[in-house]
Amino acid sequence: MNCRIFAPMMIAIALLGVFWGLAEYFGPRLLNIPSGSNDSSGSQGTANMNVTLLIDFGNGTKLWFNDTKVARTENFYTVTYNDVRGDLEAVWNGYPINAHLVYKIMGYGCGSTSPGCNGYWSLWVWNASIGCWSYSEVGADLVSVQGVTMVAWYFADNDPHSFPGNCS
Amino acid sequence: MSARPSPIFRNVSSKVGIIAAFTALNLATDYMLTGLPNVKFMDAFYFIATFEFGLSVGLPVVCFTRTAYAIVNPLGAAPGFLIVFLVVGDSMYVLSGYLSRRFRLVEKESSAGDRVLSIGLIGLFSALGFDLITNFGTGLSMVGGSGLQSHLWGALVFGLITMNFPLPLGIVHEASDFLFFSTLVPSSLALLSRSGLITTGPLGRVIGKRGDNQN
Repeated sequence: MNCRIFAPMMIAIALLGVFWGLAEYFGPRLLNIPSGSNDSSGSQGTANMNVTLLIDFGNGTKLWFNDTKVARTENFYTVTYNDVRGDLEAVWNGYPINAHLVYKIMGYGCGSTSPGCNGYWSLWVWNASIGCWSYSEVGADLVSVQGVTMVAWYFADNDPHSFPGNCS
Repeated sequence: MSARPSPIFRNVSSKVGIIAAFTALNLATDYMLTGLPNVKFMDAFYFIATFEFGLSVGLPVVCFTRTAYAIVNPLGAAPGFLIVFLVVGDSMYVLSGYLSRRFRLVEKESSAGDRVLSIGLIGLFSALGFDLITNFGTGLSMVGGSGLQSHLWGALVFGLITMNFPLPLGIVHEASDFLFFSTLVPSSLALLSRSGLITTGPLGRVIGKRGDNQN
């Protein structure tokens, strides 16, 4: 390998290492805050609608937030954030995901840096036409209340498809 | 430094056909790889399109592909302002394809191994450029600031951090581009040169079958 290749190779490895180090060090400090909610209660004068949220802790405990009034412009991340009064540990993830990764809801779950804790929250969307829960391929920020009226968060140690009532 | 000329198209329809083919190829592979965020064959195809057929093919391919994929995206449509940053970011591959051709960056390497590595590195640095531009663009919409300077600085810092946090998607992008550029690109360029689509004549490298009308 000649010098013209070797030098850029080393620069590339060093740059990637520096960027990764920056993210690992500053990421949790700057961004791992209960973040993301723009105050949503009836904002922008749009007509309100009712949505329902289920939080299933996977240990038999289920919390229902029925008929929460929200603006039509909202998404289910802000609905969750407001329903649990901000008791949410989540980190926003930019392009191409463009949504929050939710680590803990009401203090329950695994933090972004919790060695030995393997469970995670999955998001499920109620499919009214066939009466079952569909796994959401996108984050809660991208699930608009205009298209969906009920979602569930489910915490599972390994297999999120153990969620009772899922369509599969 | 001797510059290598861009190819000449025999007719407009062959150029339109090549733009359409690359756009279709990009979109098909993008949708195929939706489950693997930031892993894209598309970046390598941008490079190949520009390297072989010039800016007049590469740039339209970027505009059509990115606009379509940003609007009709299984992970959600990108906001309008971000599409501009995505197009500019993708143009990094067009720029690298153009410069690689113009200044014979790849051909300078003596051994096949060095050529493969140098194409891989071109992909890696282009991906880094794309990530910096698009994450900066996202940062502009996510952070506030009292003045323009603090807003720009805040967006840059935010972009640098979110590029690899909480998921190391930036590194995934750069590593996958290194891999695809060092494997897919050299073999595709070799196949294209053997396909008969590009011929060498008195005008230089000509795109299109012999006998087509020249425009």
